[in-house]
Amino acid sequence: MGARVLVAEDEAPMRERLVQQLGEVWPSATIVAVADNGLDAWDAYLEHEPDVAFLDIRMPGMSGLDLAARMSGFGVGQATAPVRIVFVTAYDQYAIEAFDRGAVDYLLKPIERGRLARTVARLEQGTPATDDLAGVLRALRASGKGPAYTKRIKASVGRRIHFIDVDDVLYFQADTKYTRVVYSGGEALIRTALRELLVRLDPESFWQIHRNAVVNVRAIAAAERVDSDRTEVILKGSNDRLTVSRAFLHLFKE
Amino acid sequence: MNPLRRLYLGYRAWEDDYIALLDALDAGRPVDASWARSAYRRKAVRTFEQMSRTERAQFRDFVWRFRGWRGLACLGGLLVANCVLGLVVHLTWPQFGPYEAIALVNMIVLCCALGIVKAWFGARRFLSLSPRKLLFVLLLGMLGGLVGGTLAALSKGEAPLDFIRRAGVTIAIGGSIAGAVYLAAVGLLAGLRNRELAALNAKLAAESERERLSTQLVESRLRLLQAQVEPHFLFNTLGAVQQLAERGAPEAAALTGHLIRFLRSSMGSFRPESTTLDAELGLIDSYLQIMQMRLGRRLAFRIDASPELRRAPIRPTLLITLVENAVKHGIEPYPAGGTIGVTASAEADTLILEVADTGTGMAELPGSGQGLANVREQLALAYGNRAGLELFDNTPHGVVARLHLPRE
Repeated sequence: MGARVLVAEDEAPMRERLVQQLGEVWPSATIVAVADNGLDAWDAYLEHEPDVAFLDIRMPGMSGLDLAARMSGFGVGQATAPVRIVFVTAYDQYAIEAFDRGAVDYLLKPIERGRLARTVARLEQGTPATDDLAGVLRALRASGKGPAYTKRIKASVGRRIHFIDVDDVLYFQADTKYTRVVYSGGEALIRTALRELLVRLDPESFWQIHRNAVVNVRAIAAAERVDSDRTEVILKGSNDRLTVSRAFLHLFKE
Repeated sequence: MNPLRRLYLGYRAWEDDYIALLDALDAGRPVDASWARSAYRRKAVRTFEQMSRTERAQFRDFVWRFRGWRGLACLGGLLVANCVLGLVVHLTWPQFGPYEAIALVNMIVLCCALGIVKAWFGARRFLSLSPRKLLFVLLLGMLGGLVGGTLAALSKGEAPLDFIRRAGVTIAIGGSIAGAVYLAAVGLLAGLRNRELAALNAKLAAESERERLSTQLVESRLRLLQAQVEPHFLFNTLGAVQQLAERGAPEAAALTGHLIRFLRSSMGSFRPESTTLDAELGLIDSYLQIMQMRLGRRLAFRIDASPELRRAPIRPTLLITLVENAVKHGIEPYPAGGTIGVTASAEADTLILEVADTGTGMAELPGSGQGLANVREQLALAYGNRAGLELFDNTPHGVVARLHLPRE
């Protein structure tokens, strides 16, 4: 079976071009999803669990770097993403230098066919990734080029507005258009959808473990395999158990 | 060695020491440690430190011009002239003996010369004369009169006490009047000199300020230019052109045309000091056309200005920076995209240029600071406080940036 590919690029001409070129140099691959912003790309990733993701760095909603951080379970060190990531950029000097140092694959826009063919050849060989994605992402964050993450969340409970420190949050759970916040002092509902909230949370501290759940890494006590296709997270300071979807099982492998 | 020569060399060394001190103070270098050796030397350093920069520089030039034998020759010349003047005084008013007259003239002239030098190079300090100093000079004048009178009496064989009893009051009054006249004259000189120095300082300060402003203007325009044709923009646009061309789409030629227009006017906009609103709106139109082809339906825009207002002269790069900000920080990060409206209007003698977007809004604008800081800097440099930039929230979301410029 050919590789399943996700393409995330916000500018239409570039997106068309990449899709078209991939069709030419990698006929065995299937493009399972095309996204024009970071949020849709993340949703598509959760839905399709692709093998390869081409991620534009500058995108509305969530940057390619943040997407990669979330896909790879950033923060656990050597965890490798179940997806091979190829960054796409027109010109991001800092990122390019970091990619070169960490042997992370990237394509420069406008993309040259020959360069794309070499990348595809590497991907097709199926050799496990030897790059240092986590190191590169960490270096880029340290350089202060990353987004600013939320430190506090405002939530109304009855007639009061609570200020919740994100460090006190155990987990967030999607509840239709709302998000349920479970924290050390109780729980609250906020009017922001989980996917929009996710963008503002530090991927090093908060992991999405299911389409409807984002957990604070520090609140995780254990992960338990309940049966052959069900793993649950056991939390510190709460009796709630959260289900881990298949796409995120790699976060809990030794 | 000839003792006279040794004396001269000692004098030269003393002089060089002072010139070195003045040079060090002028260059802001630390003063040689030898200057802390005695109270007298420390006081000299303090005196020079209290002078203004210009005064000190002029004093240094003065010392340099009269260094070595030149100064001594001048002093000698002055003494000879004083002696001649003394003899003339003696011949005109025979009641003054020849030595008396010579001593008197020398004393007066040398005192005045010293006073003039001090007032000339320390005008500021001289004007801040304290009542105590004033009294001191008056007393000194009186004392000088009395001592001189007594000596004169002695030379005539009169007992000093008898003389003081006879003419003491007159001499004391005369002495203090002489002191006051001396003070008034030298004070007047100091006052004139101070005004001259103040004017000179103001001129120098104005010049250096102008210099600083023009450098800043050039630098800030350079920064704006660099921000305008950033590689990210260029490569993405070229990529779009390539894609359209490969597909054989007619938009390829149009996009190339917009890019050429944008590049040409943004390169050109570095050169002129001023452009017309019309030319600037042309540049903005090219830029927004390009971005629209790249972002597709995520970007809509309209430009609205009357033909009369389009003729208004404006500084280049101000408005385009605001438009770029609106795209980069308003529309691009906002998944749904939005509309950008550029409008020109006039109110009395103010030209109002507005860039309104319906993008992501101000709360989430990381990194937009630099562009706006550049615009503010440009405004201040070009128009002083006659121009302004306001930012406020658009409804339901997005940002409005409003420029107020004086109509020229």
